[in-house]
Amino acid sequence: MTGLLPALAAAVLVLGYYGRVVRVVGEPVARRVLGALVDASPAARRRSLADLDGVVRLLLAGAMQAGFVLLLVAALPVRLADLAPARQDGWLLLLGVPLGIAEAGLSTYAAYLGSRIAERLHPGRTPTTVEGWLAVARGGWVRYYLRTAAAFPTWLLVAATLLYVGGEEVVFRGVLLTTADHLPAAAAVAGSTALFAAAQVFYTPGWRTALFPVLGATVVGVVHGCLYLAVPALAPLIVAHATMFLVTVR
Amino acid sequence: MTAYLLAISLAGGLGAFALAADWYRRSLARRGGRVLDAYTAALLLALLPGVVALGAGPVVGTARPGWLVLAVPAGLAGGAATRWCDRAIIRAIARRPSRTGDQAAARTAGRRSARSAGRPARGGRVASGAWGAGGARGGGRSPSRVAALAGSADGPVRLGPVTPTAGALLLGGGARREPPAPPGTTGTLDPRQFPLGTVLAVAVAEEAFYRGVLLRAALLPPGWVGPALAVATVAAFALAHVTFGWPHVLAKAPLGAVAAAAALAFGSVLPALVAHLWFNFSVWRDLRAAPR
Repeated sequence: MTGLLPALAAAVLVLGYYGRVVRVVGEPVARRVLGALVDASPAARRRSLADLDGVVRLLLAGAMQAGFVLLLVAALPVRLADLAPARQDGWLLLLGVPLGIAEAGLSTYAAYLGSRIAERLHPGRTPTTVEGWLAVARGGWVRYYLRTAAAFPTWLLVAATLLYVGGEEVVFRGVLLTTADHLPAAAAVAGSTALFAAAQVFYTPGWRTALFPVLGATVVGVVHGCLYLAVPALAPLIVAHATMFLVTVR
Repeated sequence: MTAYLLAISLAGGLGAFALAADWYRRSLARRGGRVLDAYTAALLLALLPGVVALGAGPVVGTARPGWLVLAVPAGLAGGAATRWCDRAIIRAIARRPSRTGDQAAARTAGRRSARSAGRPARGGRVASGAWGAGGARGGGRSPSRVAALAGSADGPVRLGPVTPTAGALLLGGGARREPPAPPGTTGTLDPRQFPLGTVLAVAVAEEAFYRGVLLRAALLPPGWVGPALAVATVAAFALAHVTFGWPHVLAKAPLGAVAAAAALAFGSVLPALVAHLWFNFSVWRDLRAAPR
């Protein structure tokens, strides 16, 4: 039981943060930052409010998540040094790119399969065209990413993506799997993947919108969870996750 | 590094058709290429890191070199038997009365109207048409991978008689599927997408990946997990044919099961390869002979 407590505590903190704190704290902060940006910057005023809102929320999500990581490290038996080893294997970092591309293919296939199954199980209550599914899938938090991609330079998109997915890898693989190291490997990976998939659902208007992100998160969660247990290195996983995101979400 | 190579191979192989469809949609179609050729190339590329991780060689499970004398006849028998199952399943499903998406949508809408008497009735066609009319984002954006899989943008990727064509998908208003092919025919399959070389190359690539890498990787975990994962590889193989339509998922399961069993029994992918080559050759022969 003692071994289970850190994992349970981590799970509660993660659910509380993504399910509640992001909305309660993030929403008013995002509005204030957007307002301050529009007031202070003539360049910002030349852009559409929707585009500014997208990039502000995307960057704010990454920044808040970084703060959440520090909170987790302070509250749980996890050392920052364990999450960021001094030496990185350069080859593994390079392999992160083909891994991300492979995951892009697998998650796209999973999304296609999921949409076909949903059409079968709920005829008349799901989109019946691929364009319909894509429109529905873009109704969630992905729209902030897409607005940033459409309206801002690529370097900003890549930086924001690395910040956000980097935080996700630290939370869902680094922290959660470290706190669950007393559990069987399958249970630890399943638990961290379930929490990762749940975090995608919180800010979507319905299961149809959440379907693609949840399936993608399941693919990444299982693959990255197994890899982190085999090779406890987060940097290649961050590269893979960012590659997969940049390749898939367009 | 072995773990990473294996992960790249397995994820890339299982998602190979998605990657190939995207490549086809973005550039290959304009140059007259075929999506199945792209799929073969993607599979072969994906299996390379797996071969590096697991080691070269056709050994699956326990090596039985003495049995290989029987590998070719066993493979031919297995291929013929599974092709018979394939035809039987497709014909049986084709003979069933089809339930279209419009009919299903109308039934769903009818149930909702009964539950909410007094509210304005909404026809199933309107509801599903609203879903179907949902548009992707603006012009100039590259087609997404999911759209590429269903062949729903630049033109039909017509792979089978029960797969919605691009035109049907774009129309919306319920899942419009082409009528099932009459028994013994291939319906709307376009033989130009299936030359003999392409069809046989796909068999080689699929066996090299599904039995040469995926099945070997599935057997790595100890205890009961390995056999369970081996069964899952058969399901994965069958599901890989979902773009042809759900009946083809069921129809390809016997081939996946026989190929996996043969690979394990002989300790080699050779009988599975022979079975799959015969199977695909039979499909190609039927395509050429079928009335259109």
